[in-house]
Amino acid sequence: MSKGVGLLDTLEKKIRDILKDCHGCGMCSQIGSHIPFKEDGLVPEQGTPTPKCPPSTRYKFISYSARGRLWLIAAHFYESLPITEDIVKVSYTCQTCGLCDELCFISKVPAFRLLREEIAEQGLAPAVNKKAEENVRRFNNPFGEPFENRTSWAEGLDLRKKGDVLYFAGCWSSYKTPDVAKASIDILKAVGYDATYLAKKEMCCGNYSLWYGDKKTARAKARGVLKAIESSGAKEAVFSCPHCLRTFRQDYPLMFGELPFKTKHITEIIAESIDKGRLDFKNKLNIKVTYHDPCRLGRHLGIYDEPRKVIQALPGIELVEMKRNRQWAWCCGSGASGDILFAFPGYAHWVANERLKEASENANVLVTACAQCYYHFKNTLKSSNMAIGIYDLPILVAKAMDLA
Amino acid sequence: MASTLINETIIDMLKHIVGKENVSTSTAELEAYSFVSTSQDLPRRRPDVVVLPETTDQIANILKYANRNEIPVLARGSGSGFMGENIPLKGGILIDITRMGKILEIDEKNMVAIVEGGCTVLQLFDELDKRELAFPVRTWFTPNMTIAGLVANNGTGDYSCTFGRIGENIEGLEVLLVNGEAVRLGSWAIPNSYGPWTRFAGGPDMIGLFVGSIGALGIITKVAIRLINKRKFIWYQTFGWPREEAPAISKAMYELQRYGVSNMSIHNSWTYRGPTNAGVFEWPTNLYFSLNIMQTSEDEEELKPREKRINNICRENNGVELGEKICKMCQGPPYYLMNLGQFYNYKRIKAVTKKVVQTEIREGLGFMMFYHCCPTLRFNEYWDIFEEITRKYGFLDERRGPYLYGWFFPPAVINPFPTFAYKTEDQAEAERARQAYREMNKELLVGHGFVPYQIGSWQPREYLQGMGSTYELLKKIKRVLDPKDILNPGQI
Repeated sequence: MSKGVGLLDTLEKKIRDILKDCHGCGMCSQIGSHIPFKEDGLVPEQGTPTPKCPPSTRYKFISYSARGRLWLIAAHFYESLPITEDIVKVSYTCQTCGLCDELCFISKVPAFRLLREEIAEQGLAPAVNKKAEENVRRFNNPFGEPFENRTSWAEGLDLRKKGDVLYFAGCWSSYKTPDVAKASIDILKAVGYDATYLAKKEMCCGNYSLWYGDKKTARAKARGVLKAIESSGAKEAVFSCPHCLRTFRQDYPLMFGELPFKTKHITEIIAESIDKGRLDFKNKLNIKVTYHDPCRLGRHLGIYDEPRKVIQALPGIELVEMKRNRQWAWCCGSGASGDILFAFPGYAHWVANERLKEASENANVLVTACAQCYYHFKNTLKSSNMAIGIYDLPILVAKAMDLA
Repeated sequence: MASTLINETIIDMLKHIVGKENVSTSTAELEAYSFVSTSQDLPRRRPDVVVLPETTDQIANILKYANRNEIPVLARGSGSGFMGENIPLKGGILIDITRMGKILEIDEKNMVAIVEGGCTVLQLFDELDKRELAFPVRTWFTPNMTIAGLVANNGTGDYSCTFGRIGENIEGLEVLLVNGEAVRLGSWAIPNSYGPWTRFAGGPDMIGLFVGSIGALGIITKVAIRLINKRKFIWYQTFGWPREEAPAISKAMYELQRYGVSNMSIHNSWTYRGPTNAGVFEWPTNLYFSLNIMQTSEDEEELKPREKRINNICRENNGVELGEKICKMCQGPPYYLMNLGQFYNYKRIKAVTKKVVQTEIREGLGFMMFYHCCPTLRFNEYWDIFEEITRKYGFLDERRGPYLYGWFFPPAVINPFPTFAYKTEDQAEAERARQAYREMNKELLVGHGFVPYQIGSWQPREYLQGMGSTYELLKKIKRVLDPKDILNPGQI
């Protein structure tokens, strides 16, 4: 029995259904703004913004579209098509942003993750991604940063180690965007939460490993994280990183069942605090902003309204939408926990640049709610001549509250 | 597969013509382009190289080179054909035309849209909507379908019942012949005329030669499509018939076409089994066929007498009105029919899918689809034969179908588009399904005189051969236009 067929025996039924359900209509790489169905009518939805899928827009060949990728997955699992370098590229240039799932009723992203699991198992992942996975295993972050530096951002903040509300910083904020973590803590304190932090017990949540294709490591990380949270006594965990939040909300329950604590994104906490009148905005910002929906926060978790509500509550802000907003938002390009940025930086920057162009046509500040998007946009901007400010939402809120 | 046709020199030449980033010989690409939009488990084949040209000149240069070096060429749009016509039977160069997607002009004075071949149906919808216009073949099955692909396969869509197939709605074509020469057909050929405003500019219908020619006679690079005013008012109705009333529904459909109904589609109870099982749809157990009827007009008042007449035709032919709720459920984008029934509601589709997938109906099933045309009045005969063969091969049961999704075109023609399901992972059953597929095509097309919706390598050879002198003429034309059999070889 070939390897592919052998693996097929152990596949989840769901994946088989995905492969069978796709008739290859090509909606997932469509050019055009009509969606042939709409919630409440017989008329197709019109005016959805385009282009939609980053890899199929950039590379144009059919394998870079969702249907092409599904065809390759089917060929691998049903016909033992060997995994080659170009199939690896096809797999690792998909941001797994989930936009193709908005275009049809088949949830394709789990199948894309399955292909990555297969690639990783065969040891064929891009070298930099392999290295990043090794970093997760050794240093608890994909960047290979020393573990002892993980808590640097929290020095002097005097955070509790046990309590009801836990702040989970995640790898990106801990190492790359400490300003997001600090702003989040400042806000939590300002609205009355005595935030707990796992400090040296906080490790990678396993998101990178899951999307890299290493379920075993992801599960080990998840177990460690959950044990640490359990010992902290937290009843609620707050995240500024949508990737971590997605892992907690969608992947952990599949591994371990329902979690014994609640999970929230920082924007949900801020939006609730606005309702309760707990926020005091002292600074008028006087800026025209546009909001970039991070893929994980938006399409993966369905959190679209809260960030907008927060932005609109800030004094001196005019919020304008880009054409591609909410479920039609164009990805920042960095992928899951930065996997695309690590493996194909040129392409990742091209995707971000496309988004920055769109943002700068509408506003002078781009606000997002994801530490990774924030980092990637800022970095991309350095090599462009666009004049646009980039903020992660907690930082902007902290600025308006005069906490920064 | 190592190719004997393609070598480094050829690849370099193609890169020179279209740019190196637009040429691929990667395993991923060749494998992906061996697939087409169908779940039929029928023979596939990889091309040897895929190219993405952006201009007519680039395609012309590829053709000149391929013709000189006798390399097979297949032009492909979105890959949504169903008869194996977009499979590169002899390998060679696959030209993906999807980068050539510009809408060149919406000529409202002459009521035509001029587009590049790779323009998709969706793109054109968008542009026409802004101007309260539409084009008469509103296909849903593959909304990403390219216009050139639609012409090369003579496709149909929502309004085909009234306006016919795409071939009947073309006023001009630009076609590249195998030697790279571009020819413009219809009034477009005349230098001092007004563009492609009519296809009949004297002489035989040259456009017709390329309609449905599956890229075997030339490559379509530009199309001028006839436009219509966008329909503002739509009325829907659904009637049902028991299985034994097949002659009555055939007569009703014929009379509705004769009366001039805007559009209709025919289905059967199998189509609705998934949603029924999922508990969101209750199909009346005494009924078998459903006829979904759509009438459009420019004026709401104009609809009322037509609604009355349509209802009367159905009732007079023993049709049972199914009521608003079922009607709403049955109507909608036909694309979803194969999976779920015609549920138009997006969120509902998602929810229903989840439920249906959990039922046994979708477990490891593939579909065998049949593209035939038959006289509407003879639909009952067609269906009897179809059922008999599916029964013979063991595919007439609750799980396997056959499903029915028929649509119509003038004057009184139906494409029943029946399908049966089979378990792809059961090798014996999959082989039986392929045998049934071959026998069905042979029996219906060769044995009973029905005709294929389009041609392609999955149709029986006997059918084309059975066309006698017409087939001989087609072969002569092919030899004149493409003497080295470069264009989509092996299909005609």
